[in-house]
Amino acid sequence: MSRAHLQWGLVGLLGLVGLFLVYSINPTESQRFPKCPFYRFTDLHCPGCGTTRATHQFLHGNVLRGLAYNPILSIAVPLLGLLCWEQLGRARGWHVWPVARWISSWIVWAIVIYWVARNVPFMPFTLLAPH
Amino acid sequence: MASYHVARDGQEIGIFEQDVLSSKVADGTVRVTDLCWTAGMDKWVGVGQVLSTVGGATPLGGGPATQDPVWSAPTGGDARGQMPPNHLVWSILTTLLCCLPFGIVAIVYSSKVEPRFLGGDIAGAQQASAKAKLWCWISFGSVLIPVAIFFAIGLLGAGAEAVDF
Repeated sequence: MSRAHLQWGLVGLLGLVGLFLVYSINPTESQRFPKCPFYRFTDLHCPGCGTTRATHQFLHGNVLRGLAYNPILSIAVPLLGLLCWEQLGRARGWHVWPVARWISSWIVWAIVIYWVARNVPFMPFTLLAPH
Repeated sequence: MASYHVARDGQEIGIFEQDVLSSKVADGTVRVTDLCWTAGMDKWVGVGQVLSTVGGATPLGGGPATQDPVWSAPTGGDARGQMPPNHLVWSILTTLLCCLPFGIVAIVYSSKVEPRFLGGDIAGAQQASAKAKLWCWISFGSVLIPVAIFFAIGLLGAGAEAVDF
């Protein structure tokens, strides 16, 4: 087993443990999960706010309720999937779309805009905040 | 239509219109690692970098030229060696999961890896790759350590309750 295999195995294992924890504990009902530090200090939502609650819903099959906690996951999760696919494909010499290059050109702005937009306290921007 | 001056090893080898630049790369007259300049640029940049921004780059080593500027041009696997990893997936994950702005710094460096590599700046691409990785760890660690401690304390507390401490 190579070092790379061990590293990926460890990451996978930690990921599975994390998913299991999120599946079994509902973040809205339990104090076990720490709240987002940014939210605690500024009372504002960071781009990731709601992801844990969303994942809990996804793992229980409630996709729409999950997306209500953090809508950007509807874009982020498929894109991350495409990025992983591209990395896999390049290592094996397949012909893959250069998704990474395309994403790199707009992602910083998208995150900053999302970060600001979800904190605007009136509709329709409040739909972007966890609800 | 912009005219690009192309230079190699400090000597100008020709002036080419923007629309013939990629075909000159295809037939070998111009190399992706050559430097080019046109009016309005403040410095010479690699031909590869210009082609990937302007669009219409032709895959090295032959093959059909694609019209779509976003999906064309290869990365790595040729004389320059493999492109260093851009760590973009990790940068995005740390930005989404770790509230602090360090993740954005990581994404910025991740974005620089591919353009620098295609422009012939291999050392710069490697630096960007290393910095992206560093900021991913900083972002991850600055959240993971407090979370782990918090969680451990919480579990210990639950354990203490269970045992009726």
